[in-house]
Amino acid sequence: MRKLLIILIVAIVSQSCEKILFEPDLASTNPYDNFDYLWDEADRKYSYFELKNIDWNEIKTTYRAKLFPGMSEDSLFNVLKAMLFELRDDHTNLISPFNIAIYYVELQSPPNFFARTIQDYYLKENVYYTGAFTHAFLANNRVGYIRYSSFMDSFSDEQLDFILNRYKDTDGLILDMRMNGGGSLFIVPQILGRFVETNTTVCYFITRNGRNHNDFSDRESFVITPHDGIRYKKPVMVLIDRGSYSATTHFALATKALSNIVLVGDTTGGGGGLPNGGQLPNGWTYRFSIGQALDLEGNNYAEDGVPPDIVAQFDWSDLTKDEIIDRAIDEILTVKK
Amino acid sequence: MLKTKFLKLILITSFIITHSTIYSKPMFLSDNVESDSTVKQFQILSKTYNSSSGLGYLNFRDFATSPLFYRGAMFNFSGGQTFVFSKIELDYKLGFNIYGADAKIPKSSLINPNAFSMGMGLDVEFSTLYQHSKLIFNKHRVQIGGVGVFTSNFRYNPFLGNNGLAADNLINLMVSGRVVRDISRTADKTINLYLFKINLKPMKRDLIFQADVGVLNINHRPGYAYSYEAEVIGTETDPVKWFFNDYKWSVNGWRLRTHLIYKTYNKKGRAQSIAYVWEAFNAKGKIEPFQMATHSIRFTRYLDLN
Repeated sequence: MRKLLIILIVAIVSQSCEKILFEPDLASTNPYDNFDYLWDEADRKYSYFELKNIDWNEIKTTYRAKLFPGMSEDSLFNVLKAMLFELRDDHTNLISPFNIAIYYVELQSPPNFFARTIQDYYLKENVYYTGAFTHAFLANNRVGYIRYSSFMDSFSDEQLDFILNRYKDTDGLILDMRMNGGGSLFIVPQILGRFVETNTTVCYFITRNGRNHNDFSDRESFVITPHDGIRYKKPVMVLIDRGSYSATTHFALATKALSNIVLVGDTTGGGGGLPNGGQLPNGWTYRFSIGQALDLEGNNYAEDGVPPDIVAQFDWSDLTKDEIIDRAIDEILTVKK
Repeated sequence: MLKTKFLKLILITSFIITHSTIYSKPMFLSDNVESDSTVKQFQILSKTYNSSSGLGYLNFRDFATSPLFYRGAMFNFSGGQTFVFSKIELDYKLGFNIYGADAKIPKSSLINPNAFSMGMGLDVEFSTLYQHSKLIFNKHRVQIGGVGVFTSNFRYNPFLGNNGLAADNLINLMVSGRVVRDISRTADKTINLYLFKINLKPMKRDLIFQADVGVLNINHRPGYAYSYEAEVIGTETDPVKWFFNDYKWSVNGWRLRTHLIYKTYNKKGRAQSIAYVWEAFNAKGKIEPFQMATHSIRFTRYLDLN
């Protein structure tokens, strides 16, 4: 009995020890606690305050005034959402079990892509679905069309080998990345490695590393390494629009350093900064950009979108044609001449 | 330059803590008896293998990603070897644990959020305990010494996006104190449970309490932004560099551990123990701390090969 008592005493003392040694539990549903926590996290780590000319202190004053004791969780969510929307950034989200705050950059501009037009008038009977790609011959087999709709969808090197082998005798490729909202950045070098012959630095990244809004790490180079197997050396047209976001923006930015790749369509949606992830005292989660992508000259336009080399717009009065694809085909065939 | 000095300091301190108890003893002896005594001192009296498994409760918080505590269950397994000399006990151990934990989220008036984290940890541990004749009392023995522990924790929390993957590395040099109380049963004993009786034979038993306090606490924590572009662009091919890109070493925080062990000995050099182990640490890092406390019940079997 005495031994059992000793064990119990040690256990209770241990429990008390950690309660004394650790800081207090910060879990809270108090709107002020949650607002202050989120504001401070963004203040310390968000990467685009200066570039977007955002006065974060003023935003705090504006939105904190909208809080009141005992406000509903829904109301708190809407105040926090409105505060985060001031960052004008699709990589900034607030996630609760009943709602998710999404800024939706692509909705700020007209759409430039209609899947049925491509399906009904371009792909026809020779369409293949290989892994994450939909692909077909266009322009009397002189052009290969490859649709990649999400960087969330992975594929194998063998699948990409199969596709590039199928189009090896074409005059050029169209890589359609319109409405590709991004995903894994690992896939960017996996695809671009098929279009370079030597190790090529394509852009730089910097990351917030201090309390001041302009504190950033040294530049980290994004280097594309040529793939060991099948590579494609002819012209490649990459189709982009405002729905091309995040990893697709990184992809588009990287192509600016590659002379054999041309961007066709509309400016990408942006999303040049890597988003982090975190949790509020009430258990909701959030994310926002903590880094920036820069081109080889150090210019920072990726967050607002990478502009196309050839501008082309979809004509919604005639759904039998995709003007962006047509423009890309023209470019390939013109270069061939 | 500073880095070299820092490494030297770590090496010297670890050497002092883990070896002072071994090499200080001859200083008390006269020159002519030193060699004999030293030989005896380093004669292995017993060499014991041990393997342990346990179940526990853990509680942790990583301020870099959340202000909330995560609480859950853990399983741990370890194996090691103990060398007992006349005055010294040397021990090394390799431990592994897996755990799952839920965030302690306050009750919502709408829909309660949930979040969980799972992880695994690896511990490598070396200890030296010294026993002086002046520290042996009637039924008690007191041992003092040092423990060096390397801990590596890997965690995954799918609710934290690009910050979902985490690793914490700790190196702690701790001073140790152990009190062993001999509670051997020297005569037959009968326990009357009214419905039936249990007859207990004489048995060698120890009740052991050990406390370890970190004196040099080193941790390896993520840098300012926690995630870095190089981690996700896939251009870093060395997995270690990829994972620990921009991690920072710090000398701060604390680590404490207590063990309460009930050990029984069989014939033929076998033994077993049941232990309650409490451990807590605060890896402050350069930016935001990681804190963890564990409570576990561990069952260990010992095999003496002598």
